[in-house]
Amino acid sequence: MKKIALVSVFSIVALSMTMTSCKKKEDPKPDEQELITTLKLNVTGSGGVVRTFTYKVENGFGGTTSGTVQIDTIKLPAGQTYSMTAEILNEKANPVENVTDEVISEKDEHLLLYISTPSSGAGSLTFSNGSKDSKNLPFNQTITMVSGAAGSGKLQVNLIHAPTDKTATTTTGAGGETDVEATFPVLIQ
Amino acid sequence: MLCVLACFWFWNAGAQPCSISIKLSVVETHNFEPVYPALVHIDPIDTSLETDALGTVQLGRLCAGVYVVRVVAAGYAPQADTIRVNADKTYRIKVSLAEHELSEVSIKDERRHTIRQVREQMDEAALKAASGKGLADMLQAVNGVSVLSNGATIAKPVIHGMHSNRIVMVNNGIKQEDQQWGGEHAPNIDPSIAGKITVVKGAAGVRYGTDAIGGVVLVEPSSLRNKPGWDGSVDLSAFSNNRKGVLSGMVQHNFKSIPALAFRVQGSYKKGGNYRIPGYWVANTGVTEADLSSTVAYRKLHYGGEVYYSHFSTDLGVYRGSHTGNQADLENAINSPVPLVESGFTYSLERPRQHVTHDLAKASAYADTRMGMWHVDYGFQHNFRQEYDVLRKENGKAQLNLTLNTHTLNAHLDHKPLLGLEGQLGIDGSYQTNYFRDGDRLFIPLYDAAGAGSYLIERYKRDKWDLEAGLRYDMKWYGVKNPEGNDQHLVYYSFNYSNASGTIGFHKQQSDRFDWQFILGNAWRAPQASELFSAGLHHGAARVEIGNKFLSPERAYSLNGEAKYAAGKSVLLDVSVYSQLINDFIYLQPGANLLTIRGYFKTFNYTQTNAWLNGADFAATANVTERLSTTLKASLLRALDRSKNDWLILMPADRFSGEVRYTVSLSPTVKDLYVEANARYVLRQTRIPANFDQIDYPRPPADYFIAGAATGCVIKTGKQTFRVSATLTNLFNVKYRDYLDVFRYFIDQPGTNVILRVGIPINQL
Repeated sequence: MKKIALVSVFSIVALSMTMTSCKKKEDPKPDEQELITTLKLNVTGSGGVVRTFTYKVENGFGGTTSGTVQIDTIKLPAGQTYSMTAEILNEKANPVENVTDEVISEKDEHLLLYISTPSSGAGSLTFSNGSKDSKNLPFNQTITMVSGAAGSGKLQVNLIHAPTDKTATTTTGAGGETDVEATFPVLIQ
Repeated sequence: MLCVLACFWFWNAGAQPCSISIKLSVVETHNFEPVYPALVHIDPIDTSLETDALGTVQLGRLCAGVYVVRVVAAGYAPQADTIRVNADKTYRIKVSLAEHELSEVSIKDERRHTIRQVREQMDEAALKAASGKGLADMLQAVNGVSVLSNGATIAKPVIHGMHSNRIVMVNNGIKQEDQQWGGEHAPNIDPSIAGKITVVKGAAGVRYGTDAIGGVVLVEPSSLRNKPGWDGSVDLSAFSNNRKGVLSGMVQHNFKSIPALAFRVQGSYKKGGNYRIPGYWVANTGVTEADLSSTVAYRKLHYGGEVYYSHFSTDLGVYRGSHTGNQADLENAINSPVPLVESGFTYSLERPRQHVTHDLAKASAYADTRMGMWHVDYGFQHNFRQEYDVLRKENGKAQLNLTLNTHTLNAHLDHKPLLGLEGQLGIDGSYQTNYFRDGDRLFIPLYDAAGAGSYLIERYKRDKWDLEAGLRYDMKWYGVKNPEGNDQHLVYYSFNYSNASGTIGFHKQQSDRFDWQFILGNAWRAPQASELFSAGLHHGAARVEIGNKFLSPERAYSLNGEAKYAAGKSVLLDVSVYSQLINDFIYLQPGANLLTIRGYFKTFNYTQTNAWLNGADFAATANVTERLSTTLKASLLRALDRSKNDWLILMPADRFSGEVRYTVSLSPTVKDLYVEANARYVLRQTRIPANFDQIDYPRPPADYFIAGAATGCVIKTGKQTFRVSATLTNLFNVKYRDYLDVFRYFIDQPGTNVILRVGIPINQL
């Protein structure tokens, strides 16, 4: 019996060793899920102005370093009306992944918020007429923007996933989870 | 209430004083062979009898009460047991062969009890009374143990302020390996397998190896059936708060033709939905758990073996509101007076959710030789964990698929007394592989780890005192492949750690009423992979944790003292004090902010300091009358950062608890009827680091007082017994938060819970 017990112990050891060693294959590569690195604001003005402002953090999210950071200043003429389209990219992927289409296809679950400081007057940007989702609630992927008097300020753009209130105008009111938060310096000339 | 009614219903049978017949069955501890001839002496009736060939003696016309049974037999160690007689029953008295005096309890327990420690046990009755609860919640009954939790569904025990990889969990003799992935994972152990759970307090590295810095939790099944035939049990419990139902069952058999051969199959199933805090349901907090275990054992007097397999599987939801995108989301969730995500009741789970399985296969053997008793235990553990993150677009996949495989081997010898010394020497070995799937979110790197250790523990025993000393040496190796840089190429690192540990313990029985002991112990642990290489975000805390490849091992030295004093017949006092130094204590220190596409995040770097923990546990039990008893407990802790002369973060606050219990056996039909009221008071933790506001927000929650009540009894109709009970927790539906609950940022603790339990032993001896 002693022998049987010992033999069974060692056969289980051997068996489980081979079981685990069989599983070994090529080393897996980790991948940050649903990565976003870049937010682009494509602006078209009534006076024929066409500009793109980029906010990019090379490593996006999930790492311990930012990588190269590009934050454009939104420089626009004063007192004009623009139509603006937000574009969301994963530039870490090769080829570059356009996340905008995915966000549009899930627009009931997403909301873009544009928060200008100051909210009016010199250096401000004001927003209206944002695009709607399938329930006719705000989505704001395309939106009309009016520049204030000459001055400086900043514009915070948030892409929010699963907001609890789609009609909110502040991140606190919107709830949900922030997928993008980009703060652009604003210079209105 | 139901139970009380049921108990009174059965009261009719009436009491029968001084007409009880009992049978005493004297068996050998190891193989349960009857012992004869043996002389059995019973006090206070001062009667001596000799066992028959079946090892039994019969006694009639006994009054209900407590008797002391002494057994003397040639070749066996003298044995004295206390039995409480209140109905016709068979009592088993276990005696050990004289040459194995160290093995007082049974083979399984023997080696675990070799080492002297401050320990506290939950026996089968206490475990049954808490059945259906998670392991950590159960252990809260033990003085000095608190709970670290993520809401009501993920919880782990904290012993004297230490948790996770600073305490060791031993599941049926095998060190449980499921704490390597970080702090917020509950131990994957089904407590319904346990016949006994022991909490060892203080550093216990010599016997339990590396990581046993704060203490050890031993989960041990009861021994297999030793008489031919079948028995089993069914346990049901229902929880009102999250509409959880728990069913556990067990069947075991001992073969008549091969008395040494026995087997057992045991399983549990739990299903609960969203739980409720005062005023609200908590979104996505359902849980389903299915567990199975089986044992086959062949046990003879001088040799034997056992094969064991267990499977644990759980699916659980994580409160949606605890999953935050960035710092502002987190503050928004913290500052909201109501839970940010509304919900009703449901059993179904959505993202974020987790699927976790743990498999353990174990083979063990023992053999008695001229040198002593040899033991070999081999275990293989397979841990698998999947995390389903919140996604923009559902793809049906888990974003994290972690696998951890561990082989462990222990061989030891309980040697025969040599120059007056009894003891044990042994070796431990382990090999571990950790990997993830291609395309997973990076959480912990790929690694292999190997460990080896050897130890010797010796005890010198005299009539009134004993002295114990132990020594151990361990080596640990890691080979890590860490994905680094923009292309995430694998960089190989290897680490070697080795260390010695020691222990000295002294126990003295000062008088019949007073005994005391002290233990000076130490332990060490190697930094774990997450501390060396962690490189990522914690969604619940919206912060980035950064590992440190230059960490050195933690070393702990603890001094524990315990005194027990029986004041008069009815008051028992138990005081234990401890002081623990932990050099190179690993913790997180705030670093620079990190810019991400979601805004700025706080970062925390793993770093080391010297910690000093001092504390005390007090317990006083008074049996006011034979039926009325009361217990008061207090647990205090002062946790210092010695290098900075500051308090350590996230340490349990001082706590006090008490219970009053009235127990009465109404008749042979209705026994052990109890009614209990209990309360717990936990202070606000005010001993926090000076830079707390930089690290954490908000400050630790306020003190709280919660009350509970319970009632239950054992009902016997004919041969069948039923154990029924009703328990109420958070009786007054108090709103409170606990500092050691990660969800304290977002939501309150669970509200009132009514728990009904029925236990049905089937054909048990």
